[in-house]
Amino acid sequence: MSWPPPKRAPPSSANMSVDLTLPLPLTNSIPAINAGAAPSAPLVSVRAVEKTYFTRQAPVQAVASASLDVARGEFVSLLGPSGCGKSTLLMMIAGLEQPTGGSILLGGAEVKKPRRDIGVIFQDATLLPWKSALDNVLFPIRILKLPVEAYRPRALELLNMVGLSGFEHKKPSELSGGMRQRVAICRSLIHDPDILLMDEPFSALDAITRDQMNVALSEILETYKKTVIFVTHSIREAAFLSDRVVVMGGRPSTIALDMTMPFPRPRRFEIEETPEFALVCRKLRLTIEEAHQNPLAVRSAASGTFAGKIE
Amino acid sequence: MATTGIGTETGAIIATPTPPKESGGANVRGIVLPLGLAAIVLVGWQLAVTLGHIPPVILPSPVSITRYIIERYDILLMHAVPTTLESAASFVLATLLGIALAIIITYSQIAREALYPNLVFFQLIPKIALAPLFIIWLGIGSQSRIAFSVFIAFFPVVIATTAGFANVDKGMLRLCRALTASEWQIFTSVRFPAALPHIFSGMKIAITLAIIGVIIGEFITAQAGLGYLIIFATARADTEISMAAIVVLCICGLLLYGLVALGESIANRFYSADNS
Ligand SMILES: Nc1ncnc2c1ncn2[C@@H]1O[C@H](COP(=O)(O)OP(=O)(O)O)[C@@H](O)[C@H]1O
Ligand SMILES: [Mg+2]
Repeated sequence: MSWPPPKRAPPSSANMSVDLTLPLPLTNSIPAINAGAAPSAPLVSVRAVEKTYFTRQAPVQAVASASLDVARGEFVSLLGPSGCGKSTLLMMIAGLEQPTGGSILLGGAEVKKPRRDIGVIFQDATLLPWKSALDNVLFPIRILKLPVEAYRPRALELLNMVGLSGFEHKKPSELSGGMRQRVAICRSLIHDPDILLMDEPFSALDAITRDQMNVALSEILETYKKTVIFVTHSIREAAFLSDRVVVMGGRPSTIALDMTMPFPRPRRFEIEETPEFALVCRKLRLTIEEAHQNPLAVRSAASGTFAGKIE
Repeated sequence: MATTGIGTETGAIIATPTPPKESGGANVRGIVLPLGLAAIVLVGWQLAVTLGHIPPVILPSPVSITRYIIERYDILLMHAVPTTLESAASFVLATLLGIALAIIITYSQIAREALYPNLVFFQLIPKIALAPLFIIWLGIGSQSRIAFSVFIAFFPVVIATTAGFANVDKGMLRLCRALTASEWQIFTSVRFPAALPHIFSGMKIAITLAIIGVIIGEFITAQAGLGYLIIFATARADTEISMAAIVVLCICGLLLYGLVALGESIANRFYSADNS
């Protein structure tokens, strides 16, 4: 068995239910995520989803009718100012919150509760403080009752990949914020989920570390191809990492813009210095500002996909 | 160094106004200072008794108490055993009961709302006043002493453990739910280990209360035990025996407390945030 595994076949290939990249087959535990769905169907399908929180005071409508499709292998960012419902939408996709309207489909099946083929990363690394980096990476394996010893080489490989070899036996208190977040990334990948859901994973880091983490993440995803939904309020971060950027805005918030990023992969930090990158960021920023002032006007005007030119 | 010669180790430690830089010095200081103070008090006590001609009935000297302990260790040991065993049994039961109640309070909202205010209210009762009732309910055997001791010792365990279970990181719980972890998995792999420092601080209070509970029980009714010995000796104005029994009781208490602290340091080896 070779490790790291070869890159995954492109999304168009017909049978994806047998996963060759696993150190061990996950046997009957995980139903193939696109079983029963047409091969061309999106992996994640968010359809007219609404979410209203019923609090003790007035009900809070966090998301109003959001629709979004994510294809297998795609990296999609949800971008918007804080409080616009990005986390709420992500938690609904993770099965941690229930929509109050519309539906969310994963490989054709409605999401009712959390699933084991999803990996999550939050703003804080949320590591177990008494466990070593290695044991924290193996935590999902214990929870999913998979053979821990069989996954140990994979955990070490992942830690090595994010530049943490030599730190396997350190506890979180001995690691920097960036290192802890890298451990969390390894932990989200250890059980080889199909989908990664990341909620502002680098927001708590300083700007320099954050840039490093962006490069590290795109390198990781070149090796371990995943479908990623990434929440951020950083325009540059979204533009650098994503295949598509979805701008959320307005109150209650909807999807104001769904824009394809025209930059080739693999991406290196230099693309941030190109004029094209500056134009894309400008367009995103203007959409966010407009959505903030007059949500309804923007939704009709800016719902097209970016095609490489900016009007 | 400006001065040379006479600065012996102890002299230097006592003379230094700021804590020494290396931890070795601080450790020595942490041992020497309390032991020194205790020694001064003991010597002062001895001098006051011998020079002040205080009769032994009022206050026997440390030397005579020590001599008594050495000469009559068999009798003292005979009484120390039931007291220690009953304290240990009460402590274990109080800990188990306390943790069990904390689990119920944590996982059942109805139980929490019904139980918690009553527990706190219960705590306001001077529980010692209830000790004689336990004799009526459970007789004069060790079971009534243990029941009373559990009754006064379990409370700090409940409070500390409940706080520990509630203290767990919300993000960690969300991660566990996202990983489809069962409540039992969350409890064993996150909640319980995270609560361990709290649980041990509750247990350390519980062990001292458990000893107090057993001694009070023995004061009221017993045919053996250090509490019985103290009451028996005091009634016959034999202060020396009484004081010797108290010293032995302190040693037993230290022993039990030390066992809990040992358990804590073993748990720390596995569940500490610092690298061992
Ligand atoms: N559990 C909750 N209960 C009530 N209101 C909530 C809850 N979670 C989020 N909200 C509200 O929903 C809105 C969107 O929140 P969130 O999804 O966290 O936004 P974002 O992640 O974009 O910052 C905010 O107004 C927030 O106050
Ligand atoms: Mg958020």
